[in-house]
Amino acid sequence: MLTEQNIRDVISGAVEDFDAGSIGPSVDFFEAGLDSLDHATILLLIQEQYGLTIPDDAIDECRSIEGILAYESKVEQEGTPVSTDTSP
Amino acid sequence: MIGITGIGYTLGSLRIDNAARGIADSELLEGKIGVSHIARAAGEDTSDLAVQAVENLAKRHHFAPEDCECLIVVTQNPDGFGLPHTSAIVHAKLGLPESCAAFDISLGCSGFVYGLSTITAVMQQNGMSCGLLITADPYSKVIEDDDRDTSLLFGDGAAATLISEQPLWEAGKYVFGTAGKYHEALRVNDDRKLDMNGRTVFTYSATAIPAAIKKTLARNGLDLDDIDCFLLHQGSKYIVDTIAKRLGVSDRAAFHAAGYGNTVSSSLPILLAENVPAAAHTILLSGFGVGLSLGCTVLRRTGDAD
Repeated sequence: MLTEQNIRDVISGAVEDFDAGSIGPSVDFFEAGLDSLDHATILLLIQEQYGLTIPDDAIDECRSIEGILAYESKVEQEGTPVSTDTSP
Repeated sequence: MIGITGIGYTLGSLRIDNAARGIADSELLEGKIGVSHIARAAGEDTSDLAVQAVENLAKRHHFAPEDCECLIVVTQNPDGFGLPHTSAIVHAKLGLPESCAAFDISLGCSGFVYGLSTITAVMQQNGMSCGLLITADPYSKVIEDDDRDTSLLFGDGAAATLISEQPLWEAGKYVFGTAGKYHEALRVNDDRKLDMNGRTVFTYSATAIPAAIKKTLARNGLDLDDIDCFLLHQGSKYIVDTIAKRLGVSDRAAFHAAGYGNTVSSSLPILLAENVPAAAHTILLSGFGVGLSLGCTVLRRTGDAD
C-alpha cells in the first residue's frame, strides 16, 4: 500500500527544486506548479518503485496525492485494469 | 571498412521565437522543452532541403556526385505524396549517375541509425565505395501551429552523411527495437496533422532507451565509462536530461538543439557534425521515436576531420 510519504518521496525524486512536503494531499499537482512532464515522471516512478501502473485513461484521477491513493484503492478492490498499459 | 567520412546539413532558414508566441512560459521552454527557436523551411520541399544538405557537405568534404553508388533518403514527409520516392527526385537534382541505387526509408527519429546500418550493409554487400545517407523530414508539413505539444518542439532540417572507404567514424554493432503497440503515440491523423501522446513517448524514452544503450555497450564489449560522448536524439531537453540522469552520464550527454528544435532523423548527424568534442574517440548514438522505434550503435573515430 502506498502512503502519502511514499508519493512525496517520489515527487522529490522526480522534480528538482520543488518542496514536496508543502503540497496538500488534495491539491492538484498542476495548480501547485507541476507540469505534464513532471506528472509523467511521477507516474513512471510510482510504477517502477511501487508496481502501480496508471493508464492514460486514469491520469486525470491521479493529479493529486489523494487521487493516486484513491486510484490504488480502487484497483485493489476492482482488480488491475487490462489493456490499458501505457508503460513500455 | 567503410564508415562516415563527413556530414553536411541545413536548417530551415526561418526562425520562430517560441517565447514570442505566448503559449508557453519561460520555465517550460527553457527548463523542459529546451527549444527557444525553431527552424522553419521557407517554402522548400523535402528534396530541396536534402540538396541543400549535400551542398553543405560538398563545402566541408570532397564529394564527387559522379562517384555516388548508393543514395538513401530517410523521410516520412516526402515530396508530394511519396510516389515517386524522394530519393529519385534528389538523385535527379544532384545529377547522380544512373548506376546509383536510390531508395527511401520510412522512419522518424530512429532513422539515422537504421539508415547508417542499411547503407553500410548495402554498400559492403555490393562492393560499393561511395554512398550518401540523407535525412530530411520537415515536420512543418504536418504541424498544427497552435498545438502546444508539437509546435514548440519540431524544427525543419536535413543532413547528408557521406559514406566511403576513408571514414572518420566506423560503426560497431547495432541494437534496434520496435514497440509497435505504441504506434499511435506519434502519428499523422486524418487531417494530415501530427498527434503526439507525450506521456507514452516520454515513458518509452525514459525506460527503453537506457536499457537499449546498455545492451548496445554490452554488444560492443564496452562500459558506460568507455564512452566519451553520448549523442542522444534531441527529442526535448527533458528527455535528453532524463535518459542521461538514468544512465548516470549527465556529464557526457547534452541537449544542443535550443536554437533550431527537434529535427527528427537529422538530429543525430547534426550533433555529429557540430557537438562532438575533438578528443572524443568513442561515442554512442541513440535515435528513438515514431513507431515507437529505437536504434543505437557505437562509433569509433578512425581518422582526422578535414
